[in-house]
Amino acid sequence: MNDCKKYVEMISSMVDGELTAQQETELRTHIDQCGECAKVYDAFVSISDVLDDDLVAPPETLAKGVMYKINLQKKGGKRFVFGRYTAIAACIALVLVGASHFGLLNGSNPDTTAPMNLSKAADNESVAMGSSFGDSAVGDGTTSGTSGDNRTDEPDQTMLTSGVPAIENTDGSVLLFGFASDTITAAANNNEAEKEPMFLFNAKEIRVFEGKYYTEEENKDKNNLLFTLSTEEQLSAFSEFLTALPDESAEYAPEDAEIIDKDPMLTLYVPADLEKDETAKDKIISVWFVEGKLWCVVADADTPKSTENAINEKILYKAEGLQDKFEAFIEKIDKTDDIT
Amino acid sequence: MTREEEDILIAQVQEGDNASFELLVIENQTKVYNLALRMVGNAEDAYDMSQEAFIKAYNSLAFFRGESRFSVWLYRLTTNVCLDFLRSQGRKQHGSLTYMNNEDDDKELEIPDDRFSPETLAEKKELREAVNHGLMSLPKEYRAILLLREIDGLSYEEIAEALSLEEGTVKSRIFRARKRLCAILTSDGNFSYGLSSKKAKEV
Repeated sequence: MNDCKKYVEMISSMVDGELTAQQETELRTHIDQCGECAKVYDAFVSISDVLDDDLVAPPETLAKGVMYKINLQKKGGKRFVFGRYTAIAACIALVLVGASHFGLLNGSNPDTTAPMNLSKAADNESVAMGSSFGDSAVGDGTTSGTSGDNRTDEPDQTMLTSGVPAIENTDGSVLLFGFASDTITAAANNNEAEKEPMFLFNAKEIRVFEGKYYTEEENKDKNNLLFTLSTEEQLSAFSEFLTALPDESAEYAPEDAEIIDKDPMLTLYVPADLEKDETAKDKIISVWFVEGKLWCVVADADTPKSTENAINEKILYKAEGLQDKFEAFIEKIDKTDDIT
Repeated sequence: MTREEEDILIAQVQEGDNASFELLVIENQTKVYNLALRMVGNAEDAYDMSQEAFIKAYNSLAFFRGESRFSVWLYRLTTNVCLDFLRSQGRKQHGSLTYMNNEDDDKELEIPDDRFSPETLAEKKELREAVNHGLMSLPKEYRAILLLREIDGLSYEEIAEALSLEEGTVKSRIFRARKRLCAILTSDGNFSYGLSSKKAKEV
């Protein structure tokens, strides 16, 4: 048996073709005489055969996806940053989450001059909305804190999970990708290029406006605040949600200007956390709804020219599949004429 | 693709010819993808891992000195991308999927039953399921090393180089990985994977 102990390890090496001819002869002689070692040999060979002959073809989009990404980063002259898109995606999801989970649609902000039809709609519809959004993966994800796992298994949830990522020529120029990466790590890195999404993680308050956000000089009174996330509970739920998300992103194409020149459907306003970073600027995230996809662009709040930002910084997010939820949302808030 | 062809393509990429990189991707994607697939256990993550590995390879190709084969270097990148991913997953799940603790390494190999003998080998498909299932129960480092050997066909020497290990360590880890895999299959009743479960249902 002592011999066998030596031989079984040699069997492993023999399966891998790592024995000298002499060793192999010795081992084969032993296997011929030892039933137990013969069984080990059979088992190791079978495992090896199975692993070896079971190669599956990779998805056809793999090579093209890699090349697309590489060409983009080359063109942009900037290392492609995974992670920031996730944060943006989360923000959009938060619009829904905020509306349902936190029941904030009823809440009006004393600073707002025009809560208008929104809160009216919310009064009538809040129960129905709560239940319909409660069924959504977005809602589940936030409450359970295991959103990533839940949603990954659901093929119909393509907005924040990538499904099997595919390149799709949606309008001749826009490709969609799914990326999985450890986004929270990326965001937490002090790496200059990856700092971007931190403003979301650090947010002490997130204000959600209907339509465009107007800067001071334009006309601040026109702003229509829907709700604000500000309690610690809300923001930590938000952070938790952010960290559970996979990436999905696309980059700006010139044709996109047609869409993002128009007013967004929603705007998320994130005041900078000046305690942590004196130089931080307030950010706004503009949200559009285009052919079943959600788009968003991040910009500094004092220069909310979304198109310029998309071109210069290539911060553009396009996500598929949340159309139904958003349509329901828009219906509820009695605003169907905006983007579609 | 011969090593010479590979070297030419790499030189072309380093000079800025992206089309050559695509050829390298196409040449290596099956092995990279299958390595990732068995490392992470599902197609969706495997796709992401493969893509990340290739993009990493591209971005660090400037540092590739051609001391090893490009494929070996690429498999190492893939393995590391997958291990990082699994570690982050492990943190999220607050638990380890590791089937056994390290003490089991010192136990003697259980002798597999007859099911693996070529004469009585159960349907290969069943065995394949059992092995793939068992793989996911292996500690991820063991899984990685076994897969570099089995899927990517690296020699012990190449694995040692790729993972910065001694060749002797590679040899013993591969053996341990197989030993554990046998133990997992046995204890799951997976040497009779399909059969035992079918019987159970009938009763």
